[in-house]
Amino acid sequence: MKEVYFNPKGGAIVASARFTHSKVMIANYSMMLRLKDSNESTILKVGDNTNVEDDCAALSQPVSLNDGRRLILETGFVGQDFASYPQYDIVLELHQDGNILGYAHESGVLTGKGQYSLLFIKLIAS
Amino acid sequence: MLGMLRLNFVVPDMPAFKAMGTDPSAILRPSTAQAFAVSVSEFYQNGQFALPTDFAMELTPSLLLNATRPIENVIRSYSKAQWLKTFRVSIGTAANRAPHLGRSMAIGLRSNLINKGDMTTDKAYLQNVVMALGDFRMASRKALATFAHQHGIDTNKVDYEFRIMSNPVLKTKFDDLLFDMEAQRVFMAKLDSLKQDYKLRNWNAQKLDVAFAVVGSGGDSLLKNVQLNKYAFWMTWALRAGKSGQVLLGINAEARRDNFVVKKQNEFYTTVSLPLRYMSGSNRLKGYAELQYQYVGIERSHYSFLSLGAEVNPYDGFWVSMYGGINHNYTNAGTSFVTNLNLKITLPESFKLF
Repeated sequence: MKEVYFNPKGGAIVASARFTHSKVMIANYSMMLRLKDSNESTILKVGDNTNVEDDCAALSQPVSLNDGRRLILETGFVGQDFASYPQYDIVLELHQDGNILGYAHESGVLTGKGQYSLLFIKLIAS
Repeated sequence: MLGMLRLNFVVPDMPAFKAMGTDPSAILRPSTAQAFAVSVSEFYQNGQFALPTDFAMELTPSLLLNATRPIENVIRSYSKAQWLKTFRVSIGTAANRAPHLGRSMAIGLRSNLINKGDMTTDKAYLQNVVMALGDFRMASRKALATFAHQHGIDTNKVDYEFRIMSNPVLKTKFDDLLFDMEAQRVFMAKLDSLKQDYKLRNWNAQKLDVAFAVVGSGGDSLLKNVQLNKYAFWMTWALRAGKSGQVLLGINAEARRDNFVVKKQNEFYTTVSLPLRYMSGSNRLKGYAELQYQYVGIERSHYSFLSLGAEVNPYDGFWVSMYGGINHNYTNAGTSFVTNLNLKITLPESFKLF
């Protein structure tokens, strides 16, 4: 699992999702935060890549509470034009104080059918 | 367009075909760009079926070239101008009406300046797909838990999903399961129904096309000593008229040589046409009435052309267009009856190009 280090005394941690353009693939996603050593999750954001809204959410504060938690991006997606544009990219990124802390990434081939992706990032205070 | 994106709205008229003058109506039918399309005409002549002597094909470079480009470049290209994405090139050839000129060959260029019938940017369509994907995502999550049980993975263990998604063998198995599960069938049925509904509602969406073509004639079948003898320009504006109607307003201007009178062969004459067409029906079957005014400079004559026609899509990727009408010459008081049958072929929606 991708591990990302953050400053427990720094500013808010922001998670952002990036998807291939909606003309190539349509995505519906849920961003979740899982408690330390548990499968209990809270939903940070549910959204899609077809609107102009930013696909990002702030993690809970105080920031130090996020140590050991896992950020999960669950995506259902479909290729709009999989024959011409067969590739997709999904990126889950973490930011703090204007810096990118790290990211998890999945790329693959669009099938023209419904597809499912799960990206995990483990947060570690440093 | 291709794959899911490819909607078989009618195959558009091709400038290279129109410019050769095989079609009495001067309207250049606008439509969504197709990666590849073919048009043939003149199957029925003098009471007999014959091999077509006139044909043309049209390619959309952006749709063909983008197929193998990295995804980042494709995204970048999408943000560029509409006219460039829908820019098309057509090439046509026809037996010349003046036998001493052999065959004619034409090259046409066209583009959509306005194309409201683009499913990939339609907000209502996208939102419906997003909702269906939400259901699919939840169903996939449940399927993942079931899959874990089936493969002896304890779902009480922390992040059990990661064990599956990060294991290439298990991930492939799970993807295969998703590919065929009931929720997938439900999702695909929903997607298909949204697509059909979109076509039904948008075959008559607003479009504005411009096109240009140049025609050359050669003295023999190899097109040696080609002489450029016609330049043509079209602009056609298609407007939605109610739920199942469409109005086409067109202009066509041509400059062509007089190839029949030897001493005038270097002179160009202008022809201007102003067609107006009303269409009614559905995407796959439409009827239409058309009225056209035309000034033919070479004859210094004014014409009107009144016609009735239909467009039929009996099979995916195959279109038949036919019309009959009365062409009246006001200057010389002559009337003729004109018919036209045109077959247009493009890649079926289900066809995978690459």
